Amino acid sequence: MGQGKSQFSEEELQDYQDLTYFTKKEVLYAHQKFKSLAPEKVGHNKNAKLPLSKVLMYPELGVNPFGERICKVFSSGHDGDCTFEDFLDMMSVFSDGAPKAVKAEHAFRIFDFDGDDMLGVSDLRQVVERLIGSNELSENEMLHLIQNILEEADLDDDGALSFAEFEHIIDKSSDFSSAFRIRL
Amino acid sequence: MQYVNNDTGADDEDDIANHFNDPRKEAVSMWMKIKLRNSLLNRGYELDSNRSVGNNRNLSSTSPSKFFRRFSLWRKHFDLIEDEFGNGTKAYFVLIRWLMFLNLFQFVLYLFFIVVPFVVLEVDEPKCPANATNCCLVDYLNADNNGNYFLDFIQGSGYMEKTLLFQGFYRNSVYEYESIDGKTRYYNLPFFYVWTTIAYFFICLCIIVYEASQGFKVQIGDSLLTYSKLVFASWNYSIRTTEKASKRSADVRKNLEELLVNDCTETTRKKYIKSNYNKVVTIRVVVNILVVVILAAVSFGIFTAFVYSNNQLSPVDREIFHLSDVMRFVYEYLPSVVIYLSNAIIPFLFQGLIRFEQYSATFTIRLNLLRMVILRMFSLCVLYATLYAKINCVPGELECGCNDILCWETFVGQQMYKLTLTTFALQLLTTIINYLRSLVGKLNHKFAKTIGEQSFDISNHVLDVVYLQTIAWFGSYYAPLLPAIFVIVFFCMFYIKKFACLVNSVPTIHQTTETHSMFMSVILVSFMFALGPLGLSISELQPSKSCSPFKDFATTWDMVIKAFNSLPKIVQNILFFLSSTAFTLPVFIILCCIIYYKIAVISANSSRIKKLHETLLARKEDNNFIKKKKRMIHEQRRF
Repeated sequence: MGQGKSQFSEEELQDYQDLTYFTKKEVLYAHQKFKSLAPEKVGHNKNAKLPLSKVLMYPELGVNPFGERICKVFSSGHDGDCTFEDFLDMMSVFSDGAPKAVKAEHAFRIFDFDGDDMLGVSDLRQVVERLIGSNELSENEMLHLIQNILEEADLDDDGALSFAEFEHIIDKSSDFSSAFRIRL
Repeated sequence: MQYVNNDTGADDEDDIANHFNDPRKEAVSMWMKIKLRNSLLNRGYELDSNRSVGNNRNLSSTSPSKFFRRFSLWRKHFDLIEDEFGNGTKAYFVLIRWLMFLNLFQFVLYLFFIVVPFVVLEVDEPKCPANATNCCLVDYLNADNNGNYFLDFIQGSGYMEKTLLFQGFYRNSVYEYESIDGKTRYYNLPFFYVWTTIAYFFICLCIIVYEASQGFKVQIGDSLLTYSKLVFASWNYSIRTTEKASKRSADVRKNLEELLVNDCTETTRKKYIKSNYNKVVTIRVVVNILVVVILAAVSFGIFTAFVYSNNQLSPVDREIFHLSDVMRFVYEYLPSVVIYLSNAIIPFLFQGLIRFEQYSATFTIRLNLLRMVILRMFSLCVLYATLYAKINCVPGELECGCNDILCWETFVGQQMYKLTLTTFALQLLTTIINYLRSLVGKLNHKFAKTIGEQSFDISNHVLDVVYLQTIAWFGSYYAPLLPAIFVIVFFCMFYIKKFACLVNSVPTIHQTTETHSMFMSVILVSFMFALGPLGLSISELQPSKSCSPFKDFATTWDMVIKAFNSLPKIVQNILFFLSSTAFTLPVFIILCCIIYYKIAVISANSSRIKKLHETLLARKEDNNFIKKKKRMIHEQRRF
């Protein structure tokens, strides 16, 4: 729509196109979607910072067990509040055009709850707990599961998964690219 | 950022620019990217942004090869199935589409090289050659078969026999025609008939081997990392509704539990086998014998059904019986129905038996699949053998045919045609029955749920589809228009299977364990089972006297040899050389050397991987030791 286009200058659109895996049309479409989360606020300032709760109203993020983590990883202030640029970044990584390596890297950051660049036992525990939601596993099963994961994937036996080891797992999953995708 | 080494104190942005020219790959916020990009441009570096965004779009690493995803038919359906059922099930539907295009390719080949030339060039009425003892061809073509129009259509008998559908209609002629530049050229129809078939099979083989090798590359190492992949890569990020999300969570949990339980049972199973070794071995031997007995029983059943129905259709004493149309229909289709029933019922027996053998989970699946493949191929082989028994006779000098069959090529074509129609119709019927079952399964009663709830078992459905393709491969030689029918069949099968998947079955995540290589190995085995008998019939069987493009030759291959002899001398010499020992033996030795070299490289690589792993562990130990020392020194410094 003409209204959308007038909000961005040609230079800005070119910037966004260069720096994401989107075309200009898709950037504008993403902005429409962003605006629909909080029409008044974004109407005032096209790059408004929306609080975490508003961003989680986006359907795919709302039902995602890692929705909060995703927002925190992509937000510039690391507190979950996203500007449009953060949102665009996020959608670009989740788009079809992003290569597997980029997706793997961001997935690693999403799963790294304590931010120590390693997926330790506590990170794995949180990932599993969020993934299975309300149907909890018993303590025994959880320990067994984490032990199995580390046995399979922890190649240097340090009790945590480094990025290289995580990337190795993702390499072997052929459907990761199509699963780690949000269509605008 | 993990990959930027800050220790050297060098300029951050220089480092980044040296490593990466694409700011999009950086895991930083947008304004940082803009800053990066500007600094890169300022220093005159070229941006490596892959401008063709569209290229990456459908580059899903889901299917391992490009041939599979070259076509865009049904893409929306694939996306829907992938969302609900995961990648393995989607691969199955991609397979159906691939097979459909394979048949389309064969149809186009046959159309272009056989059907159209015959229709265009064949203008003469069949004439009885002078001084001939009998005019088998003329008699056959002029024979009148009065029958029910519709029944003849679906049985391929009567008027349908004398159509382009069956091989018997094509003539043994070399056609003369005027080409565009005025020269008279010859079109040797029998020659092209055989060589189109051979060329098509050769191309098929190349494609299948290529696809199999692609799948094999992906599969190595796939069976490890089951837990990690389930935890990290199983969530579908495009789920939008809470309902689907909670269902997905429940699915993941179920799969995790299954894996954990399998682990436990695996250890108990191994212990059990160790302590009761003899008992387990005897049970396995007994079950295998039972399987062989079942196969023998099935073959006997098919054989008797075929012989019985044949006896009823063309009894020795014609005056005694006059069959009504309906009975005729029943007898014509009896063998195909028996084959279908055995293929549908026996797998349940096999699944029950294999539980006693105490194999591991993956091995059970593979062995079961192998047995079912053998069952289906065996039943086809029995059919071939019974057909062979019927047509294997040498007519006398004055007779045109024997055993009541004037044209055995068309007879075989008819059997294949009927088998196709039966299998397709019964597939449809089975799907409808399964739909009714699923309706029963929706009730809340426990018993209803045990009957009614089905999951989409890929291995069974793969066998259905590949079985149809085997019939297509074998039957198309005897019925050149059959590929067209198969295109329609596969087109409908896609929608039938899609219905079975989305409506009849309960959606579950299907792990992509070796799906692609399973498909390809099943297809390869079936390909051999179609090609073997076909090759034998081309080289051994005598064509009928009354029909077929190869009549008047001793075997079909004789015709090829005769045509070969009319090639220019130099081509003959080259071909002789290629088949002589002077050429094949060195080639064989070289191939063996290459294989040996590859094996050596593989074993060297695996020992290197082991060494690297050990080095990694040793380095970790060193690191820990150094950290400890550092800590000690720090603490000492404090005092």
